Amino acid sequence: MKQGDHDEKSMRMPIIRGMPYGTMIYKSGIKPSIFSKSVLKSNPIIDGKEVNMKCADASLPKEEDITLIPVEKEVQLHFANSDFTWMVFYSRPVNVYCLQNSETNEFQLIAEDSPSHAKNELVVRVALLDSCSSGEGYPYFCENLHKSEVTDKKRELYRQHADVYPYSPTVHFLVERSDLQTEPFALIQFNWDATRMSTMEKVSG
Amino acid sequence: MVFDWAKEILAMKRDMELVQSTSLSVVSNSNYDSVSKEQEFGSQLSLLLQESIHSHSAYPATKPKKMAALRKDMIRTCSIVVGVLVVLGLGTMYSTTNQFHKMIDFNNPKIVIDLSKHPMSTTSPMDITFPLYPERSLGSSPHVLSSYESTVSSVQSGDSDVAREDLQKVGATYPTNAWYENLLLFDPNQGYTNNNQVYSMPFILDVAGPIPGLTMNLPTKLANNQVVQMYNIPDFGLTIGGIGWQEAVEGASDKANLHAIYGNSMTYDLSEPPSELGLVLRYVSIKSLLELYLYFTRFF
Repeated sequence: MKQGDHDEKSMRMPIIRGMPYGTMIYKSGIKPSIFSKSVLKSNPIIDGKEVNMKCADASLPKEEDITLIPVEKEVQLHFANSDFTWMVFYSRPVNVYCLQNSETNEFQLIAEDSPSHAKNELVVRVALLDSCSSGEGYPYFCENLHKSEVTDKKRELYRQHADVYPYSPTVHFLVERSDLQTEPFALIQFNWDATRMSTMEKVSG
Repeated sequence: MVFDWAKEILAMKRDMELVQSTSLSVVSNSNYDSVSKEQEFGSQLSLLLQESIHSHSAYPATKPKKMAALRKDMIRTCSIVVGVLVVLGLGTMYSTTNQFHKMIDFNNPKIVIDLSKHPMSTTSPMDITFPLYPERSLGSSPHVLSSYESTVSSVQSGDSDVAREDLQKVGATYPTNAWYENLLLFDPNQGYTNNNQVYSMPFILDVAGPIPGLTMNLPTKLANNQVVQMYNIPDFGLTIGGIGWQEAVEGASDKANLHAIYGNSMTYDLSEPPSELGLVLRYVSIKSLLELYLYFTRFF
């Protein structure tokens, strides 16, 4: 038995330089939570459809106030203060609910995994779709205002590549020289240790 | 008499004051019978001195022959030294080339040097008298630094099964000024501070936040004629984290949505060794670690 096989409550975060996604891998009962110090400006878009989601009061959450909404793959959140729109990708279908505190201006989107998947790892990824969604945000984040077509292309790009995430990358420096007459050359190899979150299998080059 | 003789000496050797004083000194301590001997002695002495002075002059009469011989000796010696050096140099080049040929199979050229498997040095800093600071003295996050030491040492030794105690003996230099250094200095028990951020484009990342997890902040620039600054608004960041840690510790509050409270029920360490591209950090509940420890220790 190795340490990784143990039923540990944990979450791991691969932090990769230059990554457009934030990635978190959950294990054994830790509930994925997306937290913002800003409430939503508009209804969330779940799997491409706008859903009227009512959030329970975060200061005193009651079970009857919590409404679980199934999510197949993704959720799109548009926040009020920042005018940022984020995309949230899940590695498998989950149920989500939200908590909101209007006084402290806090919002949480919490995912409930199926009990049958309790032993399996769940991967959640987030990506910033737009920093100036309605054009009414902070001026400095609206300098490069995108047209809607650009945002649509960006959304599709995020969807296409959300499934594969780098885990523990390494850099190898290789020096090869075939004979003494030619100049030596170096080969720098980047191994991203790519993993497919839908199957949790390594992606071979 | 003595002074007349002395005057003659002075007249003959007026340009040699040293000879004059020496002769006078000798004469003044002599008697009349020894004057002739002293005179002969003085003459010989003055001649010797003259010869001595001439031998130090710029163009002595005997110089050309001696210099020519000396020059020949020097040329002969230099030729021998240069010859020996050339022979030694050719020998070394031949030996090195032979070793290089042995290292490379030219019929099937392969990678000959893989720095990832052959680190520049495996010498422990302690072995070369560099102090390795005790992890406790670093204070804020001893656990994550010790996990750093363990993971890096396992990479350096190439054997992941080596006992942790042995790895610590090997020693690993701390990642001072590495791009991820701030991430390793985080202590969940201290709660959220803004000292654990790294800028890895395009986001400013923080491993602490309102809940345990990864906070992503989009930076922007603030520039004028003299200064260009990068800044972010913390409230605009998004944290991807997790809840449920309070279940790991009995009696914890259900409202445990503060990082400091969560910090009592979990720990934070390095899951995978860092590289220039990235690293993997882990939050794990203390109860899980305790159960794991008990699982292994029940066999002993």
